[in-house]
Amino acid sequence: MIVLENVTKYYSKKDKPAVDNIDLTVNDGEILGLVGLNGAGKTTAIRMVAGIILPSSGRITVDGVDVVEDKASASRLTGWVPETPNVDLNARAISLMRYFAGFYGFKGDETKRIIEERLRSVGLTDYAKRKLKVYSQGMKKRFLLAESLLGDPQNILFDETLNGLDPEGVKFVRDMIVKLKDDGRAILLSSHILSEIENIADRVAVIHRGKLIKLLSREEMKKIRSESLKIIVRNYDKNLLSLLEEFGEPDISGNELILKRLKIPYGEYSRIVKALVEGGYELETFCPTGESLESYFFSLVGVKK
Amino acid sequence: MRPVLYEIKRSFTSKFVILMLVAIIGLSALLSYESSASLTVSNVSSSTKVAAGYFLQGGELHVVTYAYSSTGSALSGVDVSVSYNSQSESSFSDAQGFANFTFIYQKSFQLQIVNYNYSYSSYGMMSGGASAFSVSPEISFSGFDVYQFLRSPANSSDLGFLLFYVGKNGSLSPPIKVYVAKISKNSFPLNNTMVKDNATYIYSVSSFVAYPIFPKLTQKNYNKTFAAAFEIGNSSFTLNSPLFLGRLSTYQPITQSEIQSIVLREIGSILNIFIPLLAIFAGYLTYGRDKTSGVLESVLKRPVTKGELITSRFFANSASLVFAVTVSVAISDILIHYYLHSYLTSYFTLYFIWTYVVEGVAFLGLSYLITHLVKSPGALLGSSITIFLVMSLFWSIITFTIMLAVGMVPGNPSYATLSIVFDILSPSGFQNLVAFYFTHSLGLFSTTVNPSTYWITGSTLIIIGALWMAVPLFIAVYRAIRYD
Repeated sequence: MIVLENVTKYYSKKDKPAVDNIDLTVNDGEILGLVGLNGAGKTTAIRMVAGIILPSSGRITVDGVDVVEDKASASRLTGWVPETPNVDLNARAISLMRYFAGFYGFKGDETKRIIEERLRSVGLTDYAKRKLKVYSQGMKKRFLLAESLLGDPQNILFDETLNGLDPEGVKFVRDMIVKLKDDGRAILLSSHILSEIENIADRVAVIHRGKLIKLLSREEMKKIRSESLKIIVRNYDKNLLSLLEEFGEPDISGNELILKRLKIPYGEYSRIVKALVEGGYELETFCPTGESLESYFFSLVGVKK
Repeated sequence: MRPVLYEIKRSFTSKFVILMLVAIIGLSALLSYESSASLTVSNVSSSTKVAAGYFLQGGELHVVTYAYSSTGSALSGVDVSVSYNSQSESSFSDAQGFANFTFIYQKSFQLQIVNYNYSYSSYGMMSGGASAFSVSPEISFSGFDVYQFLRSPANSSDLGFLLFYVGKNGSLSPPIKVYVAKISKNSFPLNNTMVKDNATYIYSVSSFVAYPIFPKLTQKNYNKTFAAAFEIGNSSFTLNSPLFLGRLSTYQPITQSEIQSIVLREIGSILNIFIPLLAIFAGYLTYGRDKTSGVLESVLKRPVTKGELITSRFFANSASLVFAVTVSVAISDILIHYYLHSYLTSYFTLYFIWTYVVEGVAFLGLSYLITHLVKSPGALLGSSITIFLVMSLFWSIITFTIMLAVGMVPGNPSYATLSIVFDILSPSGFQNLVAFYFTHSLGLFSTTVNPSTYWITGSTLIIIGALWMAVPLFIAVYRAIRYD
């Protein structure tokens, strides 16, 4: 379990805090999504939890161990998968894994077994002796996953890990994150890909300008999701908007129409369908839209999409 | 693998570190060789020589020549020309050093002269020599001869001589005993039996044409004078009187103080440039660049504290510095002993190693310190270069200029004090303090003063060195823990 209590981080006393008095808890067996614009403070928060930088004030604990007071023990309980490969790319994967393994006190055959297991889990067994600089972007990400999980940490931080991956890579990492969660680990996942966060996160923390401005549960996300509908009709006309205004705030983008801020509860969506059919519209698509978290996020941070 | 072992391996296998180690050790060895060898006075020519003899057979004169180096070993490819009674032949020496010639022998009741000359290529230049021997009408072969002034291949200051034998019909030598004895003024007039009875070295040789002999001298015999007697059979000496060999060593005694001056001046000049260079840039390549580019974070996220990580890398870098200094000094000491027959005292050796380990570790600490003061790899590299230029390469020029500017010249009461202050202010000045301690000579003008007058003692040198090694690293670790 990761707990941040009143955590603040100043990089410079002249500037505003990068992270401002954040309280956050990531429970075991939970994925907490961390979303925010660039510079919102997500990476700073994650780097503090990883023990890379110190908080200016507040307290961070990992499974009850204070990250500042007992950094080595806290790091043993934490894995951090950074956004970009920050390892020595001139090293061979196997050499670097052996070096990293040394910090966990593995010995002899145990080291070999664990390294092989980690590399196999990310599909890099055949590339273990190659230098990391010849790895593709996806392979480097997979290596980061393997080396971050070397010590079998109970708490894992994913910082924009899905960025730059092809669809297959995204699926691989997503499945791995879910599996780690199912193993009972606490996972803090930062991503710009809000749909991914929405798909797998149990809760979502929205950070803006260093502050935690919203913490959404899965139920609340469902509610937000259900508060927007995607509607596509074949015979669109301008009366359609006025018809739908009775049920919410229609917003047209291309041939799609998003109905936001619904004025009727989830159980009465059939009234909208009925109104459309009775109005003579040929309905092609009618479903809760996946963009709702994104829309909600932008409305929260006050930025127009 | 323990992380520190990986760090050491990474530090030692860095291309830059390998290059620096080769440069430091190689240049130190070369300078030691140059300084020591130049002090070894020798009258031994290092040029090629040719020994010659003859035998008569079937109305022909056979001339046997042997080309040899200054150590007596055979040389091939030497162009030898022999002329006898208007006959002339030339040939190149073979792989065993021999070139043989055959002439029509013209009987005579007088001695006949055989001239021979030789030429060879040395470093692209043609060199050579000439000599002659006589053919006696009563003697059908030249027999035994001795060529002096060989240089021992095992110890270049030791001398030896070459036995050369051309027997009847070209046969090899019979068994010959060689007696080498120390002689003194009281030994004269000298005879072969005296040499035999007092021989220090006895050699039994046989079946040779050319055979080099190098008496293995002990240090007490370096200044002794020797003579040799050569016995064929049990009592027949080949020469009527002993061969005067003179001294068999070109070694000139040298004081420990002179050796220390050589080491401080020659090896010190190399280490004083290359050790800071190695320290600063090894620190940059294995720590600073990793820190500023973010690579260090991949290590810092492990169960390790910042202090442990920094000191671990620092230790790995320091190992390469200690290796460079120790091996350089060891090789220099061996070379100096080879030429000057004297090892450095362990006291001086430890201080010398300490001096450059201090200098290297201090610059390494400075490299780590600036890593925690700048943010980008570019700024770090620029700062590292500046530190090297100002505090190492040009430190003596900077201090000299400042001292001149403020009117500090030898004779001024504060000259020595200010010199010492400047030497304390930079790690590169530490070697000046140690040199001052050993030579009592201070500053660019080599002013002679007593070091203890200025508190420069063994203890203060250890304290100053310890502070230089610890303080920059301590501040670097403090900044990392407190501010990163």
